Amino acid sequence: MRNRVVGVILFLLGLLVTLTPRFILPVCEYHGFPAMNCSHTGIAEMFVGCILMVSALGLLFSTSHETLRWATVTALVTGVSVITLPEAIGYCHSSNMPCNYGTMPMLRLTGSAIILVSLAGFVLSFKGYRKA
Amino acid sequence: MARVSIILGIVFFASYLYAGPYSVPAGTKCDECGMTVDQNSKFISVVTGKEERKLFFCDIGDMLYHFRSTGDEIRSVSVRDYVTSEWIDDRNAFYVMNKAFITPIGWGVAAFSKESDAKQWGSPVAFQNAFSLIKK
Repeated sequence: MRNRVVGVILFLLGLLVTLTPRFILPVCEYHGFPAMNCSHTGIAEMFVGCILMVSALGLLFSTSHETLRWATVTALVTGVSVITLPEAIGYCHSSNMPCNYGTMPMLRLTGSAIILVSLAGFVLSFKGYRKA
Repeated sequence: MARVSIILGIVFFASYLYAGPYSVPAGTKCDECGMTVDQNSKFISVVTGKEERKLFFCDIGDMLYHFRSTGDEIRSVSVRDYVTSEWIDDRNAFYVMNKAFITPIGWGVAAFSKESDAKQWGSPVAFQNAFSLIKK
C-alpha cells in the first residue's frame, strides 16, 4: 500500500516536472522569445521528469520494501536535479522573463516536494518490515 | 593552390579572432542567457574581459548581471547609444533603466552618449553605478 501511495505521488510530481516547462508555466521560448539557455533547461527538466515517472511506475507494480528504497533514492536524485539544473544550464535572470517568474519557481517548488516525498518514502521503507 | 587556401584560411581565422570590438559575428550567442545576439539591436554590448577575451551580450542588463555575479575583470565595454545606435565606450555612456525600453531579456536598461538624452528617460548613472540598476 505504501509503495502505491508514494508511487502515485512521485508519478504526479514527475508529470508536473515534465509538463511545466512546455505546457503549465512554459519557458520563454514558448512565449515568443528565441531559444536560449532556459529552453535547454526546460528540455533537461522534461527528461528528468520522465525518469521520475518511470521510477514511480516501478513502485506501483511492486510491494517490496527494497523497490521502495531504491526508487526513492532515484527520486531523491531527480528531485535534487530538478532544483539544480536551472543553475547548471542557465535561465533568464531578469524578473520580467516568463521562465524567471513562472517556470523556475514552479520547478524549485516541485523539486522540493519530490525531495520531501522521497525522503519520507525512504524512511518508510525501513519501517514495518522485518529482516528475514 | 592548397598553400593559397591555407594562407587565406589563416588570414580569415586571424581576422575573425582579432576583429574590432564593434563587430558581432553572425549567430553569436549571448554569454549570459544563450540567446542569439541581434547585430542591429540598440541594447547589445561587447566586453573585453581578461586575456582580451571578447564577450557578447544581447542585453545591457545581462552584461551587468553577468559581471555583478561573476566579478570577472572588465577591460573595456562597448554599448550602443539608444538615440543614434552609434557604438560608445562605457566611460562615455550614461545608463538609464526604464520599463519603456523593450530590451531582449526585459531588463529595460539603455545607454546614451549624451546625458541630456538620458535624462529624458530617467536618472542616468555611470557604468560603475549601473550595476545597482538591475535586480534579480
